[in-house]
Amino acid sequence: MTESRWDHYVMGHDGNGQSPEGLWVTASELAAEGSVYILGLGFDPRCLDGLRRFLDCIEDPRIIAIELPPPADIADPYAVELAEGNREAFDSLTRDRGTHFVAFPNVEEQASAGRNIAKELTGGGLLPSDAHVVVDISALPTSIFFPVIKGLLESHDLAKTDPSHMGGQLQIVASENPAVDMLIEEQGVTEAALVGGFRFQFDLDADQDTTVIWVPVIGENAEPVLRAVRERLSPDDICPVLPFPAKDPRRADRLVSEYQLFQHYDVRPHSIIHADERNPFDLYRTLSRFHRETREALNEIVESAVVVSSHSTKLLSIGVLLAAYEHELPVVAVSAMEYRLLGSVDEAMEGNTLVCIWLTGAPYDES
Amino acid sequence: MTLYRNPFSQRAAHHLKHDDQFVSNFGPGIIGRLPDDVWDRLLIVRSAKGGGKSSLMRIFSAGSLNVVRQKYPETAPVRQALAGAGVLDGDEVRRLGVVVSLDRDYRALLDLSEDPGVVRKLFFRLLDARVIVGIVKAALEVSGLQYPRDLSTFSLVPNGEDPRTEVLLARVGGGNGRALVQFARSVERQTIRMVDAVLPTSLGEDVLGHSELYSLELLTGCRLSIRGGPLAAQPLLMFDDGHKLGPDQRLALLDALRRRDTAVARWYAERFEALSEQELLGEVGEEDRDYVLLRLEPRGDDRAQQQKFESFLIDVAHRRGHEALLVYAQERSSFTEMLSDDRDAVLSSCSTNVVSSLANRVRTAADESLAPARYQNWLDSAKALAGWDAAVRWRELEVLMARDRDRQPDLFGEALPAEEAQERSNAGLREAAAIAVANEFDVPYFAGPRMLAKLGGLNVEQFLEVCGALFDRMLTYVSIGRDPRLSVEVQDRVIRKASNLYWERVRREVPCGADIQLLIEHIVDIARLEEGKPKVPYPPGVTGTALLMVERDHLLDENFRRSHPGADRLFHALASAVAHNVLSAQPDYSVKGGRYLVLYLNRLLCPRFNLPLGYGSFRERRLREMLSWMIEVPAHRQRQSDQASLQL
Repeated sequence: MTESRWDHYVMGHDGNGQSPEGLWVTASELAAEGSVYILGLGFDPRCLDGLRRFLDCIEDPRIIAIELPPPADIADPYAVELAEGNREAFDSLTRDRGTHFVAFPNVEEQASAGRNIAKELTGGGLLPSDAHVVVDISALPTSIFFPVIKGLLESHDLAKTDPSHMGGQLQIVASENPAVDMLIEEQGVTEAALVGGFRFQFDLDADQDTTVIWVPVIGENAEPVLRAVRERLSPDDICPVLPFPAKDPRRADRLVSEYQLFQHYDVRPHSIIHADERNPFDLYRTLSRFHRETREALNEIVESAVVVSSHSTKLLSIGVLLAAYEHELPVVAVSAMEYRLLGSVDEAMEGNTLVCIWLTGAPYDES
Repeated sequence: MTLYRNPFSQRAAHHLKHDDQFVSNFGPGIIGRLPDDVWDRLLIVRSAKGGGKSSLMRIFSAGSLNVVRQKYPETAPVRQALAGAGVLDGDEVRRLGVVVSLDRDYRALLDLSEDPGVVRKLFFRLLDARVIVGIVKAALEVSGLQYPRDLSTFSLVPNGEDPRTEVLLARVGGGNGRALVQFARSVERQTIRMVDAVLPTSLGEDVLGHSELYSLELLTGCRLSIRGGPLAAQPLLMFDDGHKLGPDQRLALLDALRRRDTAVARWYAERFEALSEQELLGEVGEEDRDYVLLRLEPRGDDRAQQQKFESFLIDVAHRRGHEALLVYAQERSSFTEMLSDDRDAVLSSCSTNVVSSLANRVRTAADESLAPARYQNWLDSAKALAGWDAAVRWRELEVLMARDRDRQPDLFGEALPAEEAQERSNAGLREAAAIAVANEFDVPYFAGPRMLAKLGGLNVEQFLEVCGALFDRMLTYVSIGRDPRLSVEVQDRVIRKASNLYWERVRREVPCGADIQLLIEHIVDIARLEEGKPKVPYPPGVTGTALLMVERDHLLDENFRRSHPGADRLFHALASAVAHNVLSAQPDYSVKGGRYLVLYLNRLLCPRFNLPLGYGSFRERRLREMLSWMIEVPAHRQRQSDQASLQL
């Protein structure tokens, strides 16, 4: 069986015996040039969970904050209030620490923002070549953290003699809580586009017609986004990924019903793929295997492309990112223009779980 | 388990993958709307989102033409329309269409460099590469050959001995198909690599490109050749989704396309946006001299064009629904024939005797007037009717009598003739009366093919969406063995649900959705105010508002928006609403000595707010009032907000 890059992965989260703190401390001790914590500063109430805990166990890290555009007042004054509160709390946490702010770029095309931020992080001398780098994606949209992490992985994968090579230990952190996800409604979601850094050479006019197989990783309440992606891709086949095993064993059935996948999306029952709702590496392996099998089955007959999109949790989107990076799978996403909170988040926040995934460095025999 | 697929669920025809499927579903009426002289000057096509511009372009592409040339019976109307437009001559293709989509990658080039000269070169280089590939593919396809297998059979052959043509050919790899595509592929890959990079890269000198559209010149200076023989068809380049370009890119392209010294037909399509600088085409040249403009949606005040468009929509619905009804329900009736319009049956099931209630009210009003005998003929004409027609007539008379009382009538004169009621009324008043009856007595109203076409809002995609909702219900009946025909009650329920869903989608899916909803609520308030008046002022059925054009121009001014509270929000809400079809906009409407930008509610919102579907009626508002809409929270929203706070 073909081995994928992250077949043997390292992941820690609250309650599984391997805490994020343990992984941070280990990684920090291995890095010659200290620790750097990168996060997005926005309205998401989970945006500082990771940083607070990180600062409790890692001494004197550098902090890089990506300043996300503030929510529009009309969409939801509560979101504005949360964003302001997060900023105040961040300033208080990081007082007297070396913090670098990355301003949100002013761009013509939305997908360029993530690419530009990635270039600033990897090319601006911000990150030492042998550091412990943590990217906290809790408050970062897909259009930003996908290209940022790709940029860091690419820098790592450059030849060691390349002056832009970055070794060190790369980790991703996410504060997960489905109850909070359900309270955040995306608004102004219209047209789908290929995520920056994940266009690859898909959909070129000079290529012959390609059979497009769309693999959406599905979660709740994503109807407008799914429609937008389908319109963008006009896929020849749709193979949705549904969560199973899952804490609620009927969740997959409910998703089939919510989107009427068979009637409205022409999904055939045998096209459905399942992946563990709580393990991004199960999804990563599943997508990797699907891509390999599709290529083997179709490439003698017709040009085909597997295109993925992620409409579930941040955790699972990491699985999508890793599979897309390794196999050069195009990724489509829809950016929200605004967000609305459907209720108070205070009670829901008690269920936050911090997850840390170690992507490059010591666990992968890279010295 | 039988899986029934809804043929309306794939909304946009241009997304139908297979050309035969697309051609079968294409309504050819739209081809007849092309102006006559579109082959030697730039044609600019504008429509709202989902208005049909991409489908219009696709029908001229090689794949579609090949299907039409096969002479299937169901494509005969399309074949006839294309022949009439000079595209087909028997089996011969006279115009060879190539669609070049502008919605991918071009705008991202603007973020690669701050040097406008550099981005212009990258833009034209990529565009040329894609035009070249498009022409090669189209030529092969229309000649029954395959891409890329038969590339070497294609060539661009210079018409004469113009050294400039030779130089340009050399720059794009030479005249042979294989070399041309190799050049184009290399340009595309290089450019995409630059665009997609997440690590810092520099733009090398050798990839900087050129600042003109070479492909136009090449196609003028060369002829297309397949296997050494000429391809007689005139190339037709069709650039779609121009609104996705940056402003400078758009102008540079339009400037290149408006040149008349080219043998290539050029079309350019963009989404209509009433609040952007693109509305002003002054820099493109003079209309009719430098370009021809085609607006796909008829104006709201052009009833004849609207009816034509509605007939076209019904035709589209028939094509989509026909096969599914036959296969699933063994039903030979058309889709619209399955939609009942029997309103008498609806009235008879009401608990109140609607006709009697209205008749008594009108008789009482006549008796209490100063000249009861004056209206006798009118009352008799209503008494002669029954059912729904009678109910609407009684309500109509109620309005006409209220208006008549204001005219200081001749109290001692003869009774007004029955025909006078007809003359004083019109379709708009009758519709306002009909919906007033429906609202007052809670009678199902939104049903029937005529209304279905109106609910489409003169937009193909939206029309298909409403059809899809109705077809879903038909499929439910089929799956349980029932007759798929839908009663007025059922249609009304389905349509109101679709209307409410649409309203929710505005908030969730359209940028500035919350502000747009605020705007719409104010427009609806205007409508309520008007419909509450007993005389239903002329014209009836307010479903829109209007802004002076000069005030619209203020909104385009960033400095004005900065200095006037609410202006920025209003500007973005209006721009987004028009761009996404939530409001339809008609600029330069002349009324009362002024020029107005008229803004109508999307027709699919009318059921939610119990408004009539006809266009024609609006109430203008000054900009300062509209700005206040964005600043002051309406009372009902304040109550909602207070209640939400209490719950939290």
